[in-house]
Amino acid sequence: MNSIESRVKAQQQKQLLWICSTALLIMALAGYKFYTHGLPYLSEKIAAAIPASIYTTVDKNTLESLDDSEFEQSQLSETKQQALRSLFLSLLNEETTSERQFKLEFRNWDGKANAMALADGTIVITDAMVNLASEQQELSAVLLHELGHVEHNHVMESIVSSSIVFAGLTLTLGDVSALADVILQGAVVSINQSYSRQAELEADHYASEQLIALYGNAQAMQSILAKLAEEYPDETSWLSTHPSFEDRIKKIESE
Amino acid sequence: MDDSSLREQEEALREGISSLSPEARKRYYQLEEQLVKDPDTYAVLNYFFAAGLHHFYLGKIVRGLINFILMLVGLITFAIGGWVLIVLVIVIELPQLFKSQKIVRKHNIDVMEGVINELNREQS
Repeated sequence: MNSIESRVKAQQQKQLLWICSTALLIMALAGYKFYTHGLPYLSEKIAAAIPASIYTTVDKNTLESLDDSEFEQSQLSETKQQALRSLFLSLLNEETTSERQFKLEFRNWDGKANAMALADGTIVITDAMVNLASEQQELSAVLLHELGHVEHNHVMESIVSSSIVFAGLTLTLGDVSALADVILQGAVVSINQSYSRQAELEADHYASEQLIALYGNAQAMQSILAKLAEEYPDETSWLSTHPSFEDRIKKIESE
Repeated sequence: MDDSSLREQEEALREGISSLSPEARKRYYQLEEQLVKDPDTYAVLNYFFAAGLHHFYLGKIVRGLINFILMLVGLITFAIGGWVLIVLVIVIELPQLFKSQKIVRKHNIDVMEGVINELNREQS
């Protein structure tokens, strides 16, 4: 090949290599930064600006959806439910600063011990969790943990976060027909799967602080986590994205 | 770099091409196909993260690298003021997006002039 032609070819290859490697590196870094910093920041700000009526609607739709697909009616006696509601209200009256519409719901979920917070302050606790947390302080620990999610607005932030990602991907990929389902799907996905490890630790921290204020120590938090670890040795958490029970107990001990 | 001066340079380029031997002219057109850059591609690479890709596209490796490093540092230190660096890079680089037609046209003229000179040197 002639000298000019070979030089041009080498030059073209070099330019292409620069463009591709630079673009990949910048995209990876920008994506990482957006995911770790931009997305949480935007989610927090957007979630805080969402009107209260939306929170209520999301709660209602999410609970209906879970009732249709996952939950069964609670088998707990009315007396037991009433006693737990009184405990729940006492935790709210003294410790809660949020303006959400708090209420406690009881469900059976395939015999699994679990509790979850919805966006507007609805806390769902399963029969198995009530039976597992035999002491009042342990029940307080579970409820306060869920109240921690509400206080930190984790649920709505998680919904907003998954909606941003979903909407971004949908717009990028060109299929806008799915956009209408974003909020509800985001809600269900976030409730079922997307509590981040950081959010769990924050909720644990909140619960521990409140327990210390109420009972003088956070022993109940550690004991309910230990019971859950014993009950579900193969699972790392109440929900799949939670940190392991051992990590959470260690974290509480270190605080 | 106004339009009339570019037209004059293109006219000179055409004269240069016609002065080449048939064999050299054939090579010129083959090289032109590979070397001529597209202003739309340049514009897209410019606004794509403003990371200097458009400079790499025109073969300005050093300028592209400076752009890229500034963007990289800006992204890494975004939370502690790096965003200022990113805004600065965008403010400097973005105007080129609106001048992409002229910039690429000038680049193409310069590159092809160089090719004609080299072919002439080889001829002689």
